[in-house]
Amino acid sequence: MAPDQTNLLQGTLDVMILKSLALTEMHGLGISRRIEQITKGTFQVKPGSLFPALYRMEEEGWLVSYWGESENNRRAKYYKLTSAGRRQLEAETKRWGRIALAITRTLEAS
Amino acid sequence: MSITRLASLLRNLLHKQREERELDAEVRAHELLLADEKIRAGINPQEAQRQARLELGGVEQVKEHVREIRAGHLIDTLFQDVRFGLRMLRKSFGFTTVAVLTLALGIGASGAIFSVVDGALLHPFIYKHSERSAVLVAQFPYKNLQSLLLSIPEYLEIKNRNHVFDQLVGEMPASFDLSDRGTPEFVSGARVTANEFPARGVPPLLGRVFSPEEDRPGGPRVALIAFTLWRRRFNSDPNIVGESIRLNDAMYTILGVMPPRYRLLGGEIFLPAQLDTADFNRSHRFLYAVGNLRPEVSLDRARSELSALAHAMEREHGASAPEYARWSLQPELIRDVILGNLEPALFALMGAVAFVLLMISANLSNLLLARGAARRRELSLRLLHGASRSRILRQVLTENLLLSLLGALAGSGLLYFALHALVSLIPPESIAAEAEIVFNPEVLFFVASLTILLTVVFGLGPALQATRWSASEALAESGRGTVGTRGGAFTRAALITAEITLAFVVLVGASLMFATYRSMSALPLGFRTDHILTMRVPLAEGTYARAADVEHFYQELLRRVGTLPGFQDAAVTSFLPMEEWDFDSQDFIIEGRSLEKGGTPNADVAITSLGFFRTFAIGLLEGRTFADDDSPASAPVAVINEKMARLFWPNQSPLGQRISLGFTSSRSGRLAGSSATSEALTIVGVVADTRQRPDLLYQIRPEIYLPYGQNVGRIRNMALAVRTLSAPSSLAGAVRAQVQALDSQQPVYRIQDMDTIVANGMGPKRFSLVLLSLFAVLAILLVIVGLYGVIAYSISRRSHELGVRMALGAQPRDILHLVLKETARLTISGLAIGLLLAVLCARLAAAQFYGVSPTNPVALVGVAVLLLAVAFMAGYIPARRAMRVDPMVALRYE
Repeated sequence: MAPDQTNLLQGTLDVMILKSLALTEMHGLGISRRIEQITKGTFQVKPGSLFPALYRMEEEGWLVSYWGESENNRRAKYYKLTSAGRRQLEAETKRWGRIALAITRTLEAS
Repeated sequence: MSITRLASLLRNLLHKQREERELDAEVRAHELLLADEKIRAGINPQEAQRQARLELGGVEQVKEHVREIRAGHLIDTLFQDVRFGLRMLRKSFGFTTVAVLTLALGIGASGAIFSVVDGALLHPFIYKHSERSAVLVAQFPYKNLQSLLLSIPEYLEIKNRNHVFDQLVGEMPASFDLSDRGTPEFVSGARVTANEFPARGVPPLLGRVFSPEEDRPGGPRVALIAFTLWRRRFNSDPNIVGESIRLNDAMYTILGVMPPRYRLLGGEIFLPAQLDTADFNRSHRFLYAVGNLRPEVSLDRARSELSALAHAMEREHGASAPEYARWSLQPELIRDVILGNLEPALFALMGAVAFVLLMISANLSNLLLARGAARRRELSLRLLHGASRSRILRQVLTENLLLSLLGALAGSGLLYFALHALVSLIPPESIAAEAEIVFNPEVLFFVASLTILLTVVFGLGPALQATRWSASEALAESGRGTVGTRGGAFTRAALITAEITLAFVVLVGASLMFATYRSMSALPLGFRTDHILTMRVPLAEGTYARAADVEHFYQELLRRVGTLPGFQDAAVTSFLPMEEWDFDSQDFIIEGRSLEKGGTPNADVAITSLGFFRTFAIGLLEGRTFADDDSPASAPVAVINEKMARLFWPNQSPLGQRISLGFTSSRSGRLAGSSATSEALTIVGVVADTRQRPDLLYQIRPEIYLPYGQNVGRIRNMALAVRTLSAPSSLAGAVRAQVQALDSQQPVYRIQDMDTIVANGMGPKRFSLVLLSLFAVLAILLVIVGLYGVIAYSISRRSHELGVRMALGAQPRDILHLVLKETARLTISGLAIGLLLAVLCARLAAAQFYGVSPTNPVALVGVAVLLLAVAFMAGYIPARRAMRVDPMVALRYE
């Protein structure tokens, strides 16, 4: 576990899951490895946070899941973005842009 | 909540098992994927599996995390809590029974009292703005008279000249023979002015109300009927409007049916008043004047304006109406008339209920504390296994809520069934006819809010305490014995003291009321009450116009009744002992005596047939009673009661003395005309006193009995009294049939036996007695539960100490002594304060008691002994358990 691991902000995990599923459907482990890869190890998503998030997002209607076969022929549950999930990702992207801009401006002002 | 989330909620709740299996499969698959990944990285399979498990962080934990965020999680845990709570309650069955029973009694009793207060006193009417409704009361100092009745000119003048009432309605009580369609019936009702209906704002259920045009002298014969009459006599006939009914020998058209609870003056038939505007007799008073005060008019302003109006009327009419000298006219709110002197009693009652409820909650708190102490191990175990403190708090609170729900359920059941009994106990004349005492939504709301309030009051403290203990014990097993503050102990002692004090006062009240009831029941009535059937047979003026018709009817009725099997004796009489408050009285003058200073003396007057004294077995003290030859042809005679003889002829025999009846001052107005005979009456006999009014304690008044044979036709509403050989009710049908055989249209009312009449007279006292007894039982229960709770709690806190004592050689008997000593200590102060308070209360309420001293030592000592016994019983149960404590077990707990 990286010592400088940043605490996940509330809502951050959702965005990252949505983003990692934007290209292709994946199972839980795939999603957490993908996030590690994108953030270059800054964020490590443990199952104890991942699964609750996945279930919640599925209940919100952003994801759908189905059982499939993994690379090495194991049964695994795959997640896929719905159109509502895509809209959510867009909205979140915009929101992050605004927040990042606002924070940058705040820090630059003196 | 979005639709999809709602769908998830449903899925989670409905397909819980399938969802659980899915979750389990997914988490396990994840673990396998993790292991695969590690094996691919070159770690040996066994080590890979171990690392995968580690990284996952426990299948169960992950699943629990997921469950917590899922839709319906709260409902889920609630179900769990409820299931578990029910199991816990079932496990400690004794505790649950006591708690639910106490709660049920408290909720049931307070709900019942709330129902009565709400139904009978706070919202007795359905009339619009009834809170502003007032009746006019006139005071005539000249005649030393207070009157709610006004004359037609007075009513019209006040109605037209006042600026304080929205509408001033004139109402007068009336009664009717209802003779067609079924058994003739005597129905009370009212004649009202047409503005009654806009003023009360109650639309008819069927048809229409009368118009002002119909309310003029000589207007049409129209009638409105009450819902109860419509249902009873007309079988709720929807086509009743427009039909005719016969009232007192005249036909009336039914204009409409009024809704339930419209019972003006308690009646069931309402006619237009059709006031005779040409009636200028100012002192012929028979109208109630009732109206709603205008919203902007305060009671004070209404008072001063009406006073001014009374002054103006005195100036203008004083010359012709001497009684207007210094007269006054005041509005009295109907609400105040109804609440009247009941209001303080009501507040006292509500206060007592609140007090009882408070103590019930305090008792339950103590019980829960004692139980919480016993459950510490279970709760700390659950804390150790990862349950959060709030989760445990929720669990404990759910259990308490379950307890109160069970209590509320049982209490509502109790209330539902007890309400009817309670209402039948309340003397009917003390409740407005319009009032309805039922288990309605307001009562339900009251019960529900009370339940929630109680749960919070009794449950929160112990719940917090329980989790606090568990938390401290979860950290350090030895955190025992130091908990429990001195403040808490003081509160518990104060609680017990208060409970015993209350129980003392209520028990003394109940025992004094019981003694009162017994002495009243033992009061000599002056007549025999058994085997007497009575009924009123009022003759209509139209059918029985002449005195001879009246005489013939009653004579014939007596003759026919005399032929019935089971008959022993019978009489017709204007007066039945203890029947009603209305009575006929007349001033009289004793021949050869000058007028006394206090004005002319006054006596009750009764007109009775020969058999009266025999039928009621009233003792003859001197002279004779009536005889066959006391006829209109012979000299008029009278029989007087002992009271009158002693008052007016203290040292001589009244026999042969002559009196003249003077001015009628009849309250019921039954004695028609002025004096029938200007001729003086000769007193021929003295009979024993009888109780005259429904209240047994009402002072006996002088009474003059006149023979029916010499006073025929003066009274059309005679009562028939029949002495029977078998049960009186067995003859009721046959007697009634004889009345019908004489005149098929003749109504009969108030058919009852003498025992019932006497019992009704005891009604108010019986009500107080029952109410006090109920409270007394409740108070004793409170003491038992309260003491038990406190002692059990204290023992559970001290089991370590008791264990040490026993290990050091204390015998079970010593432990018993120890516990009972504590019980005594808790009880004594309550008994002392209770004694003082009971004496004080009994003195204040001395007027309520009869035939027993309010400070009756037997009652006081008896109650003290009873309470002491109850207290020791309550202390003995937990003490026995303490005696059986195994010292090894008690010590090992540490």
